[in-house]
Amino acid sequence: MRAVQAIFMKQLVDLPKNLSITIMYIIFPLLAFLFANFLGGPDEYGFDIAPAFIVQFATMFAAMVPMVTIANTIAEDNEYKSLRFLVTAGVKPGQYLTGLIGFVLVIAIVPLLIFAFIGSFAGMELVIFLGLSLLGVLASAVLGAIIGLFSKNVQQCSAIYTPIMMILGFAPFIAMYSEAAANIAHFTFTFQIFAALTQIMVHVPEGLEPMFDIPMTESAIIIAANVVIFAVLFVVAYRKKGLRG
Amino acid sequence: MISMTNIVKRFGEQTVLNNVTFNVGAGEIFGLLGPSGAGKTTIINILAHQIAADGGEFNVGAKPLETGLMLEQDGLYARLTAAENLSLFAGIYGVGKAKVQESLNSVGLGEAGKKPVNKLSKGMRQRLALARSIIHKPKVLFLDEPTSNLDPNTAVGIHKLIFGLRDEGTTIFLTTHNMDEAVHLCNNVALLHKGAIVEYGTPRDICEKHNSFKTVPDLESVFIKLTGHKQAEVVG
Repeated sequence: MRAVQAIFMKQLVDLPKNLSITIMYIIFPLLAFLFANFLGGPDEYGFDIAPAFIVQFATMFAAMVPMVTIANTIAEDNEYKSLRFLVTAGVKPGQYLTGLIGFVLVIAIVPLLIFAFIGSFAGMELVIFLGLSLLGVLASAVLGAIIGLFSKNVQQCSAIYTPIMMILGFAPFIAMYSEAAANIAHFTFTFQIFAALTQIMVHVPEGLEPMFDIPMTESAIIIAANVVIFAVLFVVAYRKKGLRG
Repeated sequence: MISMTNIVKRFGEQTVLNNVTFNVGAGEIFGLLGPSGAGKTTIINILAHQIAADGGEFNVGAKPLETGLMLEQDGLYARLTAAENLSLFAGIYGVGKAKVQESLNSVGLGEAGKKPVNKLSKGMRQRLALARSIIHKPKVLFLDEPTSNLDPNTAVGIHKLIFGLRDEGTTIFLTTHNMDEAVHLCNNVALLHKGAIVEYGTPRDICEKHNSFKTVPDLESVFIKLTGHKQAEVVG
Protein backbone atom coordinates (compact mmCIF):
# COMPACT_ATOMS: atom_id res chain seq x y z
CA MET A 1 0.00 0.00 0.00
CA ARG A 2 2.91 2.31 0.87
CA ALA A 3 4.43 1.84 -2.60
CA VAL A 4 1.07 2.39 -4.33
CA GLN A 5 0.57 5.61 -2.36
CA ALA A 6 4.11 6.81 -3.17
CA ILE A 7 3.63 6.15 -6.91
CA PHE A 8 0.23 7.89 -6.78
CA MET A 9 1.76 10.97 -5.08
CA LYS A 10 4.64 11.04 -7.56
CA GLN A 11 2.15 11.10 -10.44
CA LEU A 12 0.21 13.87 -8.73
CA VAL A 13 3.34 16.01 -8.36
CA ASP A 14 4.51 15.21 -11.90
CA LEU A 15 1.26 15.89 -13.79
CA PRO A 16 1.29 19.72 -13.60
CA LYS A 17 4.94 19.67 -14.74
CA ASN A 18 4.19 17.46 -17.74
CA LEU A 19 2.50 20.03 -19.95
CA SER A 20 1.87 17.79 -22.95
CA ILE A 21 -0.22 15.47 -20.75
CA THR A 22 -1.78 18.16 -18.55
CA ILE A 23 -3.12 19.97 -21.60
CA MET A 24 -5.05 16.85 -22.60
CA TYR A 25 -6.93 16.93 -19.30
CA ILE A 26 -7.87 20.57 -20.00
CA ILE A 27 -8.46 20.66 -23.76
CA PHE A 28 -11.38 18.19 -23.99
CA PRO A 29 -13.56 19.86 -21.30
CA LEU A 30 -12.59 23.26 -22.73
CA LEU A 31 -13.62 22.26 -26.25
CA ALA A 32 -16.85 20.80 -24.88
CA PHE A 33 -17.55 24.10 -23.11
CA LEU A 34 -16.84 26.18 -26.22
CA PHE A 35 -18.82 23.95 -28.59
CA ALA A 36 -21.77 23.58 -26.20
CA ASN A 37 -21.98 27.30 -25.53
CA PHE A 38 -21.20 28.74 -28.94
CA LEU A 39 -22.48 26.05 -31.30
CA GLY A 40 -25.10 24.39 -29.08
CA GLY A 41 -28.67 25.50 -28.51
CA PRO A 42 -31.93 24.40 -30.16
CA ASP A 43 -31.89 24.04 -33.96
CA GLU A 44 -34.93 24.50 -36.25
CA TYR A 45 -36.44 21.22 -34.92
CA GLY A 46 -35.98 22.32 -31.30
CA PHE A 47 -33.09 19.87 -30.90
CA ASP A 48 -30.47 21.08 -28.40
CA ILE A 49 -27.20 19.61 -29.64
CA ALA A 50 -25.09 20.98 -26.76
CA PRO A 51 -25.26 17.66 -24.81
CA ALA A 52 -24.16 15.83 -27.99
CA PHE A 53 -20.96 17.88 -28.06
CA ILE A 54 -20.33 17.10 -24.39
CA VAL A 55 -20.88 13.37 -24.96
CA GLN A 56 -18.52 13.44 -27.98
CA PHE A 57 -15.71 15.15 -26.13
CA ALA A 58 -16.24 13.08 -22.98
CA THR A 59 -15.97 9.92 -25.10
CA MET A 60 -12.80 11.13 -26.79
CA PHE A 61 -11.37 12.09 -23.38
CA ALA A 62 -12.11 8.65 -21.91
CA ALA A 63 -10.68 6.91 -24.98
CA MET A 64 -7.47 8.86 -25.39
CA VAL A 65 -6.20 10.59 -22.27
CA PRO A 66 -5.86 7.71 -19.78
CA MET A 67 -4.18 5.56 -22.44
CA VAL A 68 -1.67 8.27 -23.33
CA THR A 69 -0.97 9.08 -19.66
CA ILE A 70 -0.22 5.50 -18.64
CA ALA A 71 1.63 4.52 -21.85
CA ASN A 72 3.83 7.62 -21.65
CA THR A 73 4.64 7.14 -17.98
CA ILE A 74 5.71 3.51 -18.44
CA ALA A 75 7.66 4.35 -21.61
CA GLU A 76 9.46 7.20 -19.83
CA ASP A 77 10.28 4.97 -16.87
CA ASN A 78 11.63 2.38 -19.33
CA GLU A 79 13.63 4.91 -21.33
CA TYR A 80 15.27 6.62 -18.35
CA LYS A 81 15.66 3.37 -16.39
CA SER A 82 13.64 4.71 -13.46
CA LEU A 83 11.80 1.40 -13.26
CA ARG A 84 15.01 -0.38 -12.28
CA PHE A 85 15.26 1.70 -9.14
CA LEU A 86 11.61 1.18 -8.26
CA VAL A 87 12.07 -2.59 -8.67
CA THR A 88 15.22 -2.48 -6.52
CA ALA A 89 13.25 -0.57 -3.88
CA GLY A 90 10.87 -3.53 -3.75
CA VAL A 91 8.01 -2.05 -5.79
CA LYS A 92 6.04 -4.93 -7.32
CA PRO A 93 4.68 -4.56 -10.87
CA GLY A 94 1.13 -4.80 -9.50
CA GLN A 95 1.79 -1.97 -7.03
CA TYR A 96 3.35 0.18 -9.76
CA LEU A 97 0.39 -0.29 -12.08
CA THR A 98 -2.17 0.14 -9.31
CA GLY A 99 -0.54 3.46 -8.40
CA LEU A 100 -0.54 4.65 -12.03
CA ILE A 101 -4.05 3.46 -12.95
CA GLY A 102 -5.49 4.53 -9.59
CA PHE A 103 -4.10 7.99 -10.14
CA VAL A 104 -5.64 8.25 -13.61
CA LEU A 105 -9.02 7.03 -12.34
CA VAL A 106 -9.03 9.62 -9.55
CA ILE A 107 -7.71 12.53 -11.59
CA ALA A 108 -10.09 11.79 -14.50
CA ILE A 109 -13.02 12.54 -12.18
CA VAL A 110 -12.13 16.26 -12.34
CA PRO A 111 -12.61 16.73 -16.12
CA LEU A 112 -15.60 14.34 -16.04
CA LEU A 113 -17.26 16.53 -13.40
CA ILE A 114 -16.54 19.57 -15.57
CA PHE A 115 -18.24 17.82 -18.51
CA ALA A 116 -21.19 17.04 -16.22
CA PHE A 117 -21.32 20.64 -15.00
CA ILE A 118 -21.29 22.01 -18.56
CA GLY A 119 -24.10 19.62 -19.50
CA SER A 120 -25.99 20.24 -16.23
CA PHE A 121 -26.11 16.47 -15.69
CA ALA A 122 -27.59 15.66 -12.29
CA GLY A 123 -29.06 12.80 -10.30
CA MET A 124 -29.17 9.44 -12.08
CA GLU A 125 -27.86 11.03 -15.31
CA LEU A 126 -24.71 12.11 -13.45
CA VAL A 127 -24.23 8.72 -11.80
CA ILE A 128 -24.55 6.86 -15.12
CA PHE A 129 -22.34 9.39 -16.90
CA LEU A 130 -19.57 9.04 -14.28
CA GLY A 131 -19.96 5.26 -14.01
CA LEU A 132 -19.73 4.55 -17.74
CA SER A 133 -17.03 7.14 -18.35
CA LEU A 134 -14.86 5.78 -15.51
CA LEU A 135 -15.29 2.25 -16.83
CA GLY A 136 -14.06 3.59 -20.17
CA VAL A 137 -11.16 5.37 -18.43
CA LEU A 138 -10.19 2.04 -16.84
CA ALA A 139 -10.29 0.23 -20.21
CA SER A 140 -8.20 2.97 -21.80
CA ALA A 141 -5.70 2.96 -18.90
CA VAL A 142 -5.15 -0.83 -19.08
CA LEU A 143 -4.68 -0.54 -22.84
CA GLY A 144 -2.13 2.20 -22.15
CA ALA A 145 -0.28 -0.15 -19.80
CA ILE A 146 -0.01 -2.75 -22.59
CA ILE A 147 1.35 -0.10 -24.97
CA GLY A 148 3.82 1.03 -22.28
CA LEU A 149 5.10 -2.54 -21.91
CA PHE A 150 5.95 -2.72 -25.60
CA SER A 151 7.60 0.74 -25.71
CA LYS A 152 11.31 1.11 -25.18
CA ASN A 153 11.03 4.89 -25.21
CA VAL A 154 8.53 7.73 -25.46
CA GLN A 155 8.98 8.16 -29.21
CA GLN A 156 8.18 4.51 -29.89
CA CYS A 157 5.29 4.74 -27.46
CA SER A 158 3.63 7.64 -29.33
CA ALA A 159 4.12 5.77 -32.61
CA ILE A 160 2.12 2.88 -31.14
CA TYR A 161 -0.62 4.77 -29.33
CA THR A 162 -1.39 7.41 -31.97
CA PRO A 163 -3.14 5.08 -34.46
CA ILE A 164 -4.86 3.14 -31.65
CA MET A 165 -6.03 6.40 -30.07
CA MET A 166 -7.33 7.69 -33.41
CA ILE A 167 -9.19 4.47 -34.19
CA LEU A 168 -10.79 4.20 -30.74
CA GLY A 169 -11.46 7.92 -30.38
CA PHE A 170 -13.13 8.27 -33.75
CA ALA A 171 -14.75 4.81 -33.98
CA PRO A 172 -18.17 6.08 -32.79
CA PHE A 173 -18.20 8.80 -35.42
CA ILE A 174 -16.91 6.64 -38.29
CA ALA A 175 -19.62 4.12 -37.38
CA MET A 176 -22.27 6.71 -38.26
CA TYR A 177 -21.21 6.65 -41.90
CA SER A 178 -20.62 2.96 -42.56
CA GLU A 179 -22.60 -0.06 -41.48
CA ALA A 180 -19.57 -2.31 -41.79
CA ALA A 181 -17.60 0.02 -39.53
CA ALA A 182 -20.57 0.20 -37.14
CA ASN A 183 -20.64 -3.61 -36.85
CA ILE A 184 -16.99 -3.63 -35.75
CA ALA A 185 -17.16 -0.44 -33.67
CA HIS A 186 -20.12 -1.91 -31.77
CA PHE A 187 -17.65 -3.99 -29.75
CA THR A 188 -15.34 -1.14 -28.77
CA PHE A 189 -15.70 0.55 -25.40
CA THR A 190 -15.62 3.99 -27.00
CA PHE A 191 -18.62 3.27 -29.24
CA GLN A 192 -20.60 1.89 -26.31
CA ILE A 193 -19.76 4.86 -24.06
CA PHE A 194 -20.80 7.21 -26.84
CA ALA A 195 -24.00 5.29 -27.61
CA ALA A 196 -25.05 4.89 -23.97
CA LEU A 197 -24.34 8.49 -23.04
CA THR A 198 -26.06 9.76 -26.19
CA GLN A 199 -29.19 7.77 -25.33
CA ILE A 200 -29.33 9.25 -21.84
CA MET A 201 -28.03 12.79 -22.31
CA VAL A 202 -29.12 13.80 -25.79
CA HIS A 203 -32.85 14.38 -25.75
CA VAL A 204 -34.25 13.88 -29.25
CA PRO A 205 -37.43 15.89 -29.99
CA GLU A 206 -40.63 13.93 -30.55
CA GLY A 207 -41.03 12.66 -34.07
CA LEU A 208 -37.29 12.15 -34.60
CA GLU A 209 -35.66 8.72 -34.44
CA PRO A 210 -33.13 8.27 -31.59
CA MET A 211 -29.60 7.83 -32.87
CA PHE A 212 -29.04 4.57 -30.91
CA ASP A 213 -31.22 1.88 -29.46
CA ILE A 214 -28.89 -0.27 -27.38
CA PRO A 215 -29.93 -1.53 -23.93
CA MET A 216 -27.83 0.06 -21.17
CA THR A 217 -26.88 -3.35 -19.75
CA GLU A 218 -25.51 -4.41 -23.16
CA SER A 219 -23.33 -1.28 -23.29
CA ALA A 220 -22.08 -1.82 -19.74
CA ILE A 221 -21.31 -5.51 -20.47
CA ILE A 222 -19.36 -4.66 -23.66
CA ILE A 223 -17.34 -1.94 -21.89
CA ALA A 224 -16.60 -4.31 -18.98
CA ALA A 225 -15.66 -7.05 -21.49
CA ASN A 226 -13.20 -4.60 -23.08
CA VAL A 227 -11.62 -4.06 -19.63
CA VAL A 228 -11.36 -7.83 -19.06
CA ILE A 229 -9.91 -8.48 -22.54
CA PHE A 230 -7.32 -5.71 -22.11
CA ALA A 231 -6.45 -7.03 -18.64
CA VAL A 232 -5.92 -10.55 -20.02
CA LEU A 233 -3.83 -9.14 -22.89
CA PHE A 234 -1.83 -7.18 -20.34
CA VAL A 235 -1.09 -10.32 -18.30
CA VAL A 236 0.01 -12.14 -21.48
CA ALA A 237 2.16 -9.17 -22.56
CA TYR A 238 3.59 -8.82 -19.07
CA ARG A 239 4.61 -12.47 -18.97
CA LYS A 240 6.34 -12.00 -22.30
CA LYS A 241 7.93 -8.59 -21.81
CA GLY A 242 8.14 -8.08 -18.04
CA LEU A 243 8.31 -4.72 -16.35
CA ARG A 244 11.86 -4.25 -15.18
CA GLY A 245 13.11 -1.25 -17.09
CA MET B 1 28.03 -10.82 2.82
CA ILE B 2 28.21 -11.02 -0.97
CA SER B 3 29.46 -14.00 -2.91
CA MET B 4 29.60 -15.06 -6.53
CA THR B 5 30.62 -18.54 -7.61
CA ASN B 6 31.37 -19.44 -11.22
CA ILE B 7 28.91 -16.88 -12.59
CA VAL B 8 28.45 -17.04 -16.36
CA LYS B 9 26.49 -14.50 -18.39
CA ARG B 10 25.95 -14.46 -22.13
CA PHE B 11 24.35 -11.85 -24.33
CA GLY B 12 23.55 -13.75 -27.52
CA GLU B 13 26.71 -15.46 -28.72
CA GLN B 14 28.97 -13.30 -26.58
CA THR B 15 30.08 -14.51 -23.15
CA VAL B 16 30.43 -11.36 -21.04
CA LEU B 17 31.12 -13.09 -17.70
CA ASN B 18 33.13 -16.27 -17.56
CA ASN B 19 33.23 -18.17 -14.25
CA VAL B 20 33.41 -15.08 -12.06
CA THR B 21 34.07 -15.97 -8.41
CA PHE B 22 34.67 -13.67 -5.42
CA ASN B 23 33.58 -13.02 -1.84
CA VAL B 24 32.92 -9.74 -0.08
CA GLY B 25 32.96 -9.63 3.73
CA ALA B 26 30.42 -7.72 5.85
CA GLY B 27 31.33 -4.06 6.39
CA GLU B 28 33.93 -4.16 3.63
CA ILE B 29 34.45 -1.78 0.72
CA PHE B 30 35.01 -3.99 -2.30
CA GLY B 31 36.14 -2.60 -5.64
CA LEU B 32 35.60 -4.19 -9.02
CA LEU B 33 38.08 -2.70 -11.46
CA GLY B 34 38.23 -2.89 -15.20
CA PRO B 35 37.86 -0.98 -18.43
CA SER B 36 34.53 -0.18 -20.07
CA GLY B 37 32.94 -3.35 -21.42
CA ALA B 38 34.79 -5.62 -18.99
CA GLY B 39 31.51 -6.74 -17.37
CA LYS B 40 31.46 -4.61 -14.20
CA THR B 41 27.94 -3.27 -14.63
CA THR B 42 26.67 -6.72 -15.61
CA ILE B 43 27.94 -8.07 -12.29
CA ILE B 44 26.17 -5.27 -10.38
CA ASN B 45 23.00 -5.89 -12.36
CA ILE B 46 23.10 -9.59 -11.46
CA LEU B 47 23.75 -8.90 -7.76
CA ALA B 48 20.95 -6.30 -7.70
CA HIS B 49 18.54 -8.81 -9.31
CA GLN B 50 18.19 -6.66 -12.42
CA ILE B 51 19.23 -9.46 -14.79
CA ALA B 52 19.59 -13.22 -14.38
CA ALA B 53 22.85 -15.10 -14.72
CA ASP B 54 23.13 -18.00 -17.17
CA GLY B 55 25.16 -20.13 -14.77
CA GLY B 56 26.76 -20.23 -11.34
CA GLU B 57 25.48 -19.02 -7.98
CA PHE B 58 25.46 -15.78 -6.08
CA ASN B 59 24.29 -14.62 -2.69
CA VAL B 60 23.70 -11.18 -1.21
CA GLY B 61 23.31 -11.29 2.56
CA ALA B 62 20.57 -8.69 2.59
CA LYS B 63 16.96 -8.60 1.44
CA PRO B 64 16.30 -6.57 -1.72
CA LEU B 65 14.81 -3.77 0.43
CA GLU B 66 18.04 -3.65 2.45
CA THR B 67 20.17 -2.90 -0.60
CA GLY B 68 20.88 0.42 -2.29
CA LEU B 69 21.74 0.85 -5.95
CA MET B 70 23.41 3.60 -7.91
CA LEU B 71 24.00 3.04 -11.62
CA GLU B 72 25.68 5.12 -14.29
CA GLN B 73 22.23 5.84 -15.80
CA ASP B 74 20.71 7.58 -12.80
CA GLY B 75 16.99 6.90 -13.46
CA LEU B 76 15.98 10.17 -11.80
CA TYR B 77 12.68 11.84 -12.66
CA ALA B 78 13.85 14.87 -14.64
CA ARG B 79 10.75 17.04 -14.18
CA LEU B 80 10.63 16.51 -10.41
CA THR B 81 12.81 18.42 -7.98
CA ALA B 82 15.68 16.75 -6.14
CA ALA B 83 13.57 16.62 -2.95
CA GLU B 84 10.53 15.22 -4.80
CA ASN B 85 12.69 12.44 -6.26
CA LEU B 86 13.86 11.48 -2.78
CA SER B 87 10.34 11.85 -1.33
CA LEU B 88 9.12 9.16 -3.72
CA PHE B 89 11.69 6.70 -2.38
CA ALA B 90 11.23 7.85 1.23
CA GLY B 91 7.55 6.97 0.72
CA ILE B 92 8.33 3.58 -0.81
CA TYR B 93 10.79 2.67 1.96
CA GLY B 94 8.59 4.26 4.65
CA VAL B 95 11.49 6.17 6.21
CA GLY B 96 9.81 9.51 6.88
CA LYS B 97 10.15 12.88 5.17
CA ALA B 98 12.94 14.08 7.48
CA LYS B 99 15.28 11.64 5.75
CA VAL B 100 14.88 13.57 2.49
CA GLN B 101 16.65 16.69 3.71
CA GLU B 102 19.13 14.60 5.72
CA SER B 103 20.11 12.64 2.60
CA LEU B 104 20.37 15.80 0.49
CA ASN B 105 22.63 17.35 3.13
CA SER B 106 24.81 14.24 3.27
CA VAL B 107 25.74 14.60 -0.42
CA GLY B 108 26.09 18.39 -0.30
CA LEU B 109 22.79 19.13 -2.04
CA GLY B 110 21.06 20.68 0.95
CA GLU B 111 20.42 23.92 -0.94
CA ALA B 112 19.34 22.24 -4.18
CA GLY B 113 16.29 20.39 -2.92
CA LYS B 114 13.83 22.60 -4.77
CA LYS B 115 15.69 22.51 -8.09
CA PRO B 116 14.22 20.34 -10.85
CA VAL B 117 16.56 17.50 -11.76
CA ASN B 118 16.75 18.70 -15.38
CA LYS B 119 18.40 21.91 -14.08
CA LEU B 120 21.09 20.07 -12.12
CA SER B 121 24.62 19.50 -13.42
CA LYS B 122 25.75 15.95 -14.17
CA GLY B 123 27.78 15.86 -10.97
CA MET B 124 24.82 17.08 -8.91
CA ARG B 125 22.59 14.44 -10.48
CA GLN B 126 25.16 11.82 -9.56
CA ARG B 127 25.18 12.99 -5.96
CA LEU B 128 21.39 12.96 -5.92
CA ALA B 129 21.42 9.39 -7.23
CA LEU B 130 23.78 8.50 -4.39
CA ALA B 131 21.47 10.21 -1.88
CA ARG B 132 18.56 8.13 -3.22
CA SER B 133 20.57 4.92 -2.83
CA ILE B 134 21.33 5.57 0.86
CA ILE B 135 18.07 7.21 2.02
CA HIS B 136 16.98 3.96 3.74
CA LYS B 137 20.39 3.19 5.26
CA PRO B 138 20.95 -0.03 3.27
CA LYS B 139 22.98 -2.98 4.57
CA VAL B 140 24.55 -3.44 1.13
CA LEU B 141 25.24 -0.63 -1.30
CA PHE B 142 26.04 -1.16 -4.99
CA LEU B 143 27.77 1.81 -6.61
CA ASP B 144 28.56 1.81 -10.32
CA GLU B 145 31.28 4.39 -11.04
CA PRO B 146 30.21 6.62 -8.12
CA THR B 147 32.67 9.44 -8.81
CA SER B 148 33.19 9.23 -12.57
CA ASN B 149 31.74 12.67 -13.43
CA LEU B 150 32.64 14.53 -10.26
CA ASP B 151 35.21 17.25 -9.69
CA PRO B 152 38.03 16.28 -7.28
CA ASN B 153 36.56 18.15 -4.29
CA THR B 154 33.15 16.55 -4.67
CA ALA B 155 34.77 13.16 -5.21
CA VAL B 156 36.62 13.56 -1.91
CA GLY B 157 33.28 14.37 -0.24
CA ILE B 158 31.77 11.22 -1.71
CA HIS B 159 34.76 9.19 -0.50
CA LYS B 160 34.17 10.53 3.04
CA LEU B 161 30.51 9.58 2.75
CA ILE B 162 31.46 6.06 1.61
CA PHE B 163 33.85 5.68 4.56
CA GLY B 164 31.12 6.97 6.89
CA LEU B 165 28.66 4.40 5.57
CA ARG B 166 31.24 1.64 5.97
CA ASP B 167 31.88 2.75 9.56
CA GLU B 168 28.15 2.42 10.21
CA GLY B 169 28.29 -1.19 8.98
CA THR B 170 27.22 -0.87 5.35
CA THR B 171 28.93 -3.27 2.95
CA ILE B 172 29.89 -1.37 -0.19
CA PHE B 173 30.41 -2.92 -3.59
CA LEU B 174 31.68 -0.42 -6.12
CA THR B 175 32.98 -0.44 -9.63
CA THR B 176 35.54 2.01 -10.87
CA HIS B 177 38.20 2.41 -13.51
CA ASN B 178 40.09 4.85 -11.29
CA MET B 179 42.93 2.79 -9.76
CA ASP B 180 43.95 5.50 -7.28
CA GLU B 181 40.39 5.68 -6.00
CA ALA B 182 40.33 1.90 -5.58
CA VAL B 183 43.59 1.93 -3.63
CA HIS B 184 42.29 4.76 -1.43
CA LEU B 185 38.83 3.31 -0.77
CA CYS B 186 38.81 -0.44 -1.02
CA ASN B 187 39.70 -3.18 1.44
CA ASN B 188 39.72 -5.71 -1.38
CA VAL B 189 39.60 -5.42 -5.15
CA ALA B 190 39.10 -7.71 -8.11
CA LEU B 191 40.57 -6.90 -11.51
CA LEU B 192 38.14 -7.80 -14.27
CA HIS B 193 39.26 -8.29 -17.85
CA LYS B 194 37.10 -9.58 -20.70
CA GLY B 195 34.58 -11.03 -18.27
CA ALA B 196 37.07 -12.91 -16.10
CA ILE B 197 38.74 -12.00 -12.82
CA VAL B 198 42.48 -11.83 -13.42
CA GLU B 199 43.51 -10.78 -9.90
CA TYR B 200 41.85 -10.58 -6.51
CA GLY B 201 42.96 -9.42 -3.03
CA THR B 202 43.92 -6.29 -1.13
CA PRO B 203 45.47 -3.54 -3.29
CA ARG B 204 48.70 -3.84 -1.29
CA ASP B 205 48.97 -7.63 -1.68
CA ILE B 206 48.25 -7.46 -5.42
CA CYS B 207 50.87 -4.78 -5.95
CA GLU B 208 53.46 -6.56 -3.83
CA LYS B 209 52.80 -9.78 -5.73
CA HIS B 210 53.50 -8.03 -9.01
CA ASN B 211 56.42 -5.96 -7.67
CA SER B 212 54.49 -2.78 -8.28
CA PHE B 213 54.65 -1.25 -4.84
CA LYS B 214 56.59 2.00 -4.72
CA THR B 215 55.60 4.48 -2.00
CA VAL B 216 51.95 3.59 -2.57
CA PRO B 217 50.43 0.54 -4.28
CA ASP B 218 50.50 1.07 -8.07
CA LEU B 219 47.47 -0.92 -9.25
CA GLU B 220 47.51 0.80 -12.63
CA SER B 221 50.85 -0.81 -13.51
CA VAL B 222 49.59 -4.19 -12.38
CA PHE B 223 46.51 -3.82 -14.53
CA ILE B 224 48.53 -2.89 -17.62
CA LYS B 225 50.88 -5.81 -16.96
CA LEU B 226 48.01 -8.28 -16.64
CA THR B 227 45.77 -7.05 -19.44
CA GLY B 228 47.89 -5.00 -21.80
CA HIS B 229 45.33 -2.20 -21.42
CA LYS B 230 46.02 1.26 -20.11
CA GLN B 231 42.88 2.36 -18.26
CA ALA B 232 42.93 5.90 -19.55
CA GLU B 233 43.30 4.73 -23.17
CA VAL B 234 40.47 2.24 -22.90
CA VAL B 235 38.06 4.49 -21.05
CA GLY B 236 38.98 7.81 -22.54
